[in-house]
Amino acid sequence: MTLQQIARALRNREFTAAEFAAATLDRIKKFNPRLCGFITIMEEAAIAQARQADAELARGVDRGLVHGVPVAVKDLFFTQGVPTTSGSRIFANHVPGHDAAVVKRLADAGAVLVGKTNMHELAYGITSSNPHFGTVRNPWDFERIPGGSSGGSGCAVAAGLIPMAMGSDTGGSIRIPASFCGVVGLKPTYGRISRYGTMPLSFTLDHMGPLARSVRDAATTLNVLAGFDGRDPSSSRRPVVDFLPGEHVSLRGLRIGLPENFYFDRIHSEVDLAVRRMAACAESLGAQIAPVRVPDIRAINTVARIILLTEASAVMQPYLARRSEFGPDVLRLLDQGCLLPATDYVNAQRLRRVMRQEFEAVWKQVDCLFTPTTPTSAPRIGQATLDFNETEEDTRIATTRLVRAINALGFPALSIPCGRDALGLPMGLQIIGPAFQEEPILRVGAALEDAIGLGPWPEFDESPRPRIERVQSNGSP
Amino acid sequence: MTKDWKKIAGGLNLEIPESELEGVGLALDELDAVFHPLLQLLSPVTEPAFHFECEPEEHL
Repeated sequence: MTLQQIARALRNREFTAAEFAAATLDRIKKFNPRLCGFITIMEEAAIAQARQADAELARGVDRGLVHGVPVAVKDLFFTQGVPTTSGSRIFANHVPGHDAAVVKRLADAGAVLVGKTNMHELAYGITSSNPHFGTVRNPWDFERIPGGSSGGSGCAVAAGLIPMAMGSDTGGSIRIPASFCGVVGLKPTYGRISRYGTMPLSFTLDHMGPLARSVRDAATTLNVLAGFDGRDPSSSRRPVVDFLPGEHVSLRGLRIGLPENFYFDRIHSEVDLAVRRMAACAESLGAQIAPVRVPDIRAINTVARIILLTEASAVMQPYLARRSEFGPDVLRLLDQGCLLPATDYVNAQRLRRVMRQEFEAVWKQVDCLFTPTTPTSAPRIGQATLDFNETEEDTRIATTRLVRAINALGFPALSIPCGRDALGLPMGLQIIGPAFQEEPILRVGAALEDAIGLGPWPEFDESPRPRIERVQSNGSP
Repeated sequence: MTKDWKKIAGGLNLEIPESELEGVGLALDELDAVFHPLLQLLSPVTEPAFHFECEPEEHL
């Protein structure tokens, strides 16, 4: 069920929040041993919160659409009195004394927090194959990665364990799992959602946002979370609008850009086709599709990588002597960051400003961009490289290639499912908008979702049978 | 010219095992090759994108 469907059912008294929370917890406990999407399940607290929501709703106190709805947060959002590991052995016993701003706002809106989701160690990677808390599985095919770093959130939403789970995105970590798991992922504008009370990976690139079962669920969540927070130095004072798209969305007059350069190079042909099909769908709904040249994304990606490497290593420097407590992939990146000179970091931040300015020319031509989110569907667990026309590319570099630059630019970006490939695996469309223009990209996403319908969702039962086998045995992709 | 990452690591007294340094250096060389030509885009007055405000902060 989507968040909105649950909200409606609660108000129609089809079930109580406590009943739904109990059923949610049962499903999580049943499937989590195989999916490994959660690090912590907060059973007692969730049932207590759900009972409180029921009591309030019975008294006519309605805090809005998430009131009484089960949600989860990635295990880097601080939760008072509950371990917040950041997927790391270093922080395995870290119990915060306060809640993250996101956790507090969700609680104030009456949401029922059922647990903390698994993730790539320190949010520093895209596989979510976590050496300390287990390998998160993709519900579409248990032998494939869910993406990362918010892999547990993507997995839990796709598997129907939870309608919405919060993630963080420093170089694609919300949008990549959204693409690989076939769910919606929103990275809002930098400064739109408070970072207060989250374990940082890279202060100037970290963004918080929801992974959800529908665009309207993501918009509903943004309505709860957006707004100024003086405890986050990057928090924006921009006024918050209603982000929730209406029922009959029109795209008439909207200009959508399809990049002529970079974004459609070195991607799998099925992904190319799926994104162009979505553009055609948008055109049929009244939008104008225009080819557009974008600035040098490879250069922006490089600038973003230098900022990330140096900021992450600075954050983790006090712990680097404990080398055996890090996974090898994360340690390699932390080592790289330690070797970069301070001048590179400062100049990367200066280049970022220049590139952000250059990109404004794009927004004079179009209202948003359509690109693939990832160049392929989900790779296999442990797959080191991806193949593009007989050239191989490192899986992490390839998977972040189409998303990373947008973190450096700070623009909002939405990933929505855009069909499945011959293996039956989901693919993602990325819709990128100008700064603080979440409302239009959510509107476009909702219009497309209305046109193509929600889902389908992965089908799995008691047996951990990979979906790929079932699809192949049917003989029809 | 590629940098001697081994010497840099030694100079910084970093405890990176020699077996790891080759891979780390290769990755940084690739990054450097794209990054350094970009510096020509910078004017001396280009400010970095991080900012500091001299206002009392609610939380540190």
